[in-house]
Amino acid sequence: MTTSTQIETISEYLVPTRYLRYKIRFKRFWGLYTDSPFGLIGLYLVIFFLVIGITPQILAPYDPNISMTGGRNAAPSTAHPLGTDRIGRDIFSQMIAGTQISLLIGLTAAFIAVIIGTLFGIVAGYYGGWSDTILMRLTDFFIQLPQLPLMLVFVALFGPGVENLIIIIGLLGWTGTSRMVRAESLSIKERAFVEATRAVGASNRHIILDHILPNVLPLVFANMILGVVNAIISESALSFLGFGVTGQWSWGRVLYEARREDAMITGAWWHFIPPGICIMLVALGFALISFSLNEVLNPRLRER
Amino acid sequence: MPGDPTTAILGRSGSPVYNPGEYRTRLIERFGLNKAILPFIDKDFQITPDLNTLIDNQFVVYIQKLLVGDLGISFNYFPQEVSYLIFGHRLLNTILLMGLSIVLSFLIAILLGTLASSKFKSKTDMTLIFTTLTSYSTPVFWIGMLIVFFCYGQLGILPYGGSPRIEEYSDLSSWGLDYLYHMIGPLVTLTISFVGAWFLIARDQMLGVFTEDYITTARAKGLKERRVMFVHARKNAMLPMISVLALAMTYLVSGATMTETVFNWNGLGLLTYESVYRQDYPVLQGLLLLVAAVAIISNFIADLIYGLLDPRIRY
Repeated sequence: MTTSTQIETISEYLVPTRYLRYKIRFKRFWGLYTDSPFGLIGLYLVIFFLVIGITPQILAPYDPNISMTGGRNAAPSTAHPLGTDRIGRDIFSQMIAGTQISLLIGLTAAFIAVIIGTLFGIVAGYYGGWSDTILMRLTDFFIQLPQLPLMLVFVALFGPGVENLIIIIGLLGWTGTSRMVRAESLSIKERAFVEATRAVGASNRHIILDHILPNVLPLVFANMILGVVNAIISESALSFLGFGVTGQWSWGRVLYEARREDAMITGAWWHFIPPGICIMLVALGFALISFSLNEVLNPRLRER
Repeated sequence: MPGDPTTAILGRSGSPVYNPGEYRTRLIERFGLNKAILPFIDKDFQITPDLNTLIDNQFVVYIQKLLVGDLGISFNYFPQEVSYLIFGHRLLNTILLMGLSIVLSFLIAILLGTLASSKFKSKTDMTLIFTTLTSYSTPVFWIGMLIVFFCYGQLGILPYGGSPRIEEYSDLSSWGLDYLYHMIGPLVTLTISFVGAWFLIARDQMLGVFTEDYITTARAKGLKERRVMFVHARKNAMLPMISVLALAMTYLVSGATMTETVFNWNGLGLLTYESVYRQDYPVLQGLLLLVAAVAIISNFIADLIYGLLDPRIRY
C-alpha cells in the first residue's frame, strides 16, 4: 500500500495536474510582474478606485444633485470636505458618484474596443488575402485620423449621454489591438502545433477558437488595460467640453462645472484639482499595470 | 447642446434679430433644414439639391464646388464662407502652436529616451518612466487648467488666454512678442502631454537597437559609450519615430481642441469645438476633409523619407 501511494505522488509530481500547472505558471508570471514596483502600485491604485466605484451610495455623504443649506460656492469645511458648487451641491459627493460612471465608461468602452480589435486582427491575420488587405487599410485609416475631433463629430451626430459615449469611444479605440493581434496571429498560425492540428483535419473555427485565441489573449488583455486609460481620458475630455455625461456625474462633468464657474480664476482649487487628480491616479494605475504586463509579455525588453 | 443650426443664424433669445416664428420657418425652408439629408449651400447661396433635383446629384455638385475651392457657407458665422474661416488666421495660429510644440516635444522625448535606455533599469530610468507615465495619464486640458490657475490666477505672470491678431498691433515686433507671451501656456501644456506619449516609444526603440550586432561591434572597436549611443544607436532607433511624426502631422491642422479651448487660442481646434457646439455642419465637414487630406499626404511623405534614410527600403 505504502509503495503505491508513493508512486502516485511521484507521478503527480512528474505530470502536474492542471491546477498545479496554472499555479506554477502564475508564480512565474507574478515573479516577473513584481520585478519592478510599478505593477503593484498600479494594482493598488485601481483596486482603491474600484472599491469606491462599487459602493458610491454608501460613501457619498449627500445626494450630489441636491442643493445644500450650507450655502453656494462654499470653501471646504468639515460638513463639505470639498466645498459646494454654484447652486450649493456637495462636490465631494459628486466626485464619489463620478467614480462609478468614469470607471464604467472606461472599462466597457475599452472592452468593446478590444473585442472589435481582436476580431479584426484574428480574421486579418489568420485568413490573410483580401480580408487582410481590407481590414488593415481600414485600420490604417482610423489610426491616422486624430481621435478627439472624430469623437466630437460622432457626438454631434449621435448626441451626448453615457451609452453613446461608451459606443463612440469603443468604436474608435480598436486600431492598436487589431494591429498587434494580427501580427501575433500571423506568427502563431505558422507554428508547428497549428500545422499538426490542421493535419489531423481540424476546421478553421476549431483552430481559431482553441489555438489562436488562447495564445493572443494575454496580449489582448494588456491592450485592454491600456485602452482603459485612453477611454477614461477621452470621457473626461468630452464631458469637460459639455458633450459627454449630462444626467449623471463623472469626473469630467465636475471639471466642466468648475470651468463654467471660472474656478481657476476665483481660486476655488477644491473644485477642479481633486477631480483631475482622480482621473490622473486611475489612469496612472492602469498605465502602470499595462507597463508591467508589457515587461512580462515582451521578452525582447528583458534581454539586456 | 442647442437643437438646430437656425439658432446659430438667428441668434439666441434676447438678441435683436431673434424671432422664433416667421424667420425661423423661412430659414428652414430656404436652406432645407427639414430634409433628411442636409443640403449643400455654396458661396453664392445656391442650394443643392433644389426641390426638384435628385439627392445623388448633391454629391456631384459638392465635388464640383470642392474642386474650385468652394466649401459652402457656415451656419454659425452666417454669411461667411467655410474656406475663409478655415484658411485664415485660425490655420496660422494652429500651425504655429502645434508645430512649435511638436518639434519641442519630439526633441525632448528623443533626448530623454536615449538617456533612459542608456541607464536601463537604473533609478534615472525608473523616475523618467514614472514621470512620463503620469503625464500620459493626465488629461491635457487639466494641465492647462492648472497653468491658468497658478500662472494667471495666483501669480499673474501669464495672460488668461487668447491669441493676439496682427491687425491689432502697430508693428510686427510688438505683435510677435505678445504672441509668444500668449503662446507660453498652451505650448507648455502640449509639450508635457506629447512628451508623455512619445517618451516610451523612443525608449523602446533604443532598447531594441542595443541588442543588435553592430552595436556590439562598435563597442568592440573601443568606441566611447557616448559615441556608440548617440551616433550608432540613435540614428537607427529614430527611424520608426518618423511614422510617429507623420501621425503627429494631422495635429498641425486638427489642432489641440482641448488645449485651444482652455486657453481660448483661436485655432482650428477651437473652431472644431464651436462647430460641434453650434451644430455648424458645413464647417465640421470642411475641417474633417482637411485633416483627412493632411493625414494621407503626410503618411505618403513619411514613406518617401523612410526610403531616403534606410537603404534597405527601396520602392
